[in-house]
Amino acid sequence: MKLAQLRVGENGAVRRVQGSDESSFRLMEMGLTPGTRVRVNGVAPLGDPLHITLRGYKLSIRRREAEGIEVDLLP
Amino acid sequence: MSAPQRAQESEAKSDPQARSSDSASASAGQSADLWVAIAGNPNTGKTALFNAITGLRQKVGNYPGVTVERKVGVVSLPSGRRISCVDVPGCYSLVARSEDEQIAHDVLVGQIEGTPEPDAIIVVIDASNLQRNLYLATQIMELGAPCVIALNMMDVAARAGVEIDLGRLSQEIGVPIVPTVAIREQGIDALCKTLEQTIEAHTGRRRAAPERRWRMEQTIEGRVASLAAELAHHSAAPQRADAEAIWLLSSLQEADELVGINPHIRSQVLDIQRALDQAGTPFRASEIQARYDWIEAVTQPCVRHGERVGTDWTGRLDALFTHRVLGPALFFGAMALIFQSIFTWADPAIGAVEDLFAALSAGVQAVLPEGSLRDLITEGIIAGAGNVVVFLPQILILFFAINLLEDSGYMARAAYMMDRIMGRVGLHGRAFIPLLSSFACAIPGVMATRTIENRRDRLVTILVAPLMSCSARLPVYTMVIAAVFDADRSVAGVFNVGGLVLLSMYLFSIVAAISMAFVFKSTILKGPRPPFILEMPPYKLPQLKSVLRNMWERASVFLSRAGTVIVAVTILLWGLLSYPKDVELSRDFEAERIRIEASLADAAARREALRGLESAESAERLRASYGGRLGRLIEPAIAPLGFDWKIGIGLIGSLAAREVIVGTLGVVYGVGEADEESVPLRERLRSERHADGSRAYTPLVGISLMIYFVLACQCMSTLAVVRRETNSWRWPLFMLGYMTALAWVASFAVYQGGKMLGFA
Repeated sequence: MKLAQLRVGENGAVRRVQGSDESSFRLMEMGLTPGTRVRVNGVAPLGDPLHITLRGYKLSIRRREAEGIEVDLLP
Repeated sequence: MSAPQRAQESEAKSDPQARSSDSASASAGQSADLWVAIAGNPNTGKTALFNAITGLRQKVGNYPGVTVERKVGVVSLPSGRRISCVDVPGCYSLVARSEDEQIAHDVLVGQIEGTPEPDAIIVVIDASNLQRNLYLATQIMELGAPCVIALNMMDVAARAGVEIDLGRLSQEIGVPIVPTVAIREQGIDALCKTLEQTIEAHTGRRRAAPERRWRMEQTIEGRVASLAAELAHHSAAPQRADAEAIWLLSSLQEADELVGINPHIRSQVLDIQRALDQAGTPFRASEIQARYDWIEAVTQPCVRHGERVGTDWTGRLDALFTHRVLGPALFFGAMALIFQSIFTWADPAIGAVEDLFAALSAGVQAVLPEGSLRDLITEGIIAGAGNVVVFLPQILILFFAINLLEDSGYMARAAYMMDRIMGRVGLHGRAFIPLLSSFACAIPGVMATRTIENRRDRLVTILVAPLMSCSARLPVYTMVIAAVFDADRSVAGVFNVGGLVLLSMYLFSIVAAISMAFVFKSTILKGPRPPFILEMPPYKLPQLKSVLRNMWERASVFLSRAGTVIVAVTILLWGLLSYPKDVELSRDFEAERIRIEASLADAAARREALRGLESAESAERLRASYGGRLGRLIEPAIAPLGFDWKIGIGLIGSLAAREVIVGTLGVVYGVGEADEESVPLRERLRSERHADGSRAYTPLVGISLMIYFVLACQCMSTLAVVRRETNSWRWPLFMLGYMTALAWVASFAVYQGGKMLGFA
């Protein structure tokens, strides 16, 4: 499944970041690498972007970017 | 720091030379031929650390050729030795593409003029966010310079329950680590001591990157090794070949024109990249993964995550501030509050400034003999300076508010909430901050667009930033509102007419900016949307000291950039409007004056009559002056907007700086003269009549004028900055053209439309 499909409060582990453009690399450099645990904290009032926690810090990314991140749902 | 050093510091602090000299080395003082660079992620307290170790011995300027800010200071080491220190722009990676990050990389390798390759680098790391911060650290460590890690924000980490075994971590990474809490200036002494030790340990040794500790899979490493061997052959620094190979493989792109790379090497790099892509192990992804794998392996045994101490304020505040309904509501409420405070609460200060300059003018009048010099000083220089300084209170309030929001961490949340709306018109969520800054002044706003990586998006943001009603328009709005409306009449008990009209102007400007952004993005600057990846730092209580400091810095920029232009233009206008002096007048004003003085016994009536006479004479003289002629020349073009030639002069003058129109109208209406019959400008505008007796400044004219100012490009300084940021004259000229056209059309529509609806 994709990060964009996780619901608020759910945790996931990144499987991989699709794409090889600048934005994909940027996401990886910010710590979204295979195996990384992420938690979806919330969504902006208009539905986009998403607010997530990873590696001890909070990050905001658009749904579009989140659609390119494969994750495994964690309990 | 010890007492003798403190004494040294305060000496340097009060030494104006150290602050105002142009070259960094002059302020660095005697023995400073060594350089240390301070680098790190954004939001790590890097600036606070920089301030803490350099004291106030800093110089702010720009890197050559770009508008990225460069801060250079002097550090006093425990031995008494002083070295220069440069604050590198905050970045997440040295390979990334935004201008800030490119500059950061260039400074750290010594490729920027004026800043030599650093002899040491302090890497500032946020202790509560270790892993991502270490990513940049791994890149920096490969550059070859000796590094010291300042593990900052230890207090935040402690509260979050994070415990770090510093000794072990330092051993694993291979770099000394010093814990600090920069905003409380804790750990600074130890940092300087370690810095000195590190520098001494490395002097004389050839620059070599420490043995790379993170590894990729064998096939990739093999490729890297072969490239490194090739590089060692050609390079002047063979011991850095491995680091160079990594750098090239991760940053070189086919479409690049990286200067200075041997074409043979270049093709080899591209070959390796292609081969690895085909094998399913693309280099960049593997490299990033490998770095993080190593970081995880290293931090896992050294970091313990315990229970959080105290409340999770960030979580709680976020629940409130990014709430679906409350979030935007609170945001707009805050914005409304800021605007109301600018309009109303700055009044006492404004009054004080006005009084001050009036007194100054009167003082000069009393001392100097009548004549051109006196007029130049009172109506040109003092009046001009007054017109600049009088708006300082409002600017300070606005900058104070913006800095408060930024420092507390709230701005990121605002950008996060606004992204969807911005996205609808093709703008980036990050465009929000530059656009918001443009409410204070478009100059730092345009400069702040640097964080928008995509060139097209950046251009669109730059083009619409001046549409955001900047603080220079505020004088115009204030003057017009006070002149044509009953500004203090209360509405709904909390707001007043003046505040509401002002708010609507601001809202209109936002609508204009958004619309134009949409237009541009759909037409000339069409392209895909860039990603929105924004860190949301933990909320923190803004430090008053730093908020005030930033506020004052920004205000100084406004004063120096716009202020000088305004004074110069005020003087120029005074000249245009005062000369020629020998003109033919329709009446013998002097004779009439004598007659009135002789015939009218009642003092009040006499004053009234003389005032009327004076207005008439001033008007005639103005009409005959150079400025008047110019105004009359453009009058046909602006008459459909409800403006006359006097406003015409104002418009021409304010092309240099918007608020000049206030000074101009002051001169035009003779308010600069300090005699007992002078009335403040707003009274003068209120009483101004056309030849047929009708009010010159009706509410409709007022609104038409304000609308014109919302949209028109009346600021040479902005154009100059846009030119610097876009590196060509094409965009500034385009900006001037489209904004003037837009302003004319809108004003026309408002005025003519209003007339048709019977509002005249």
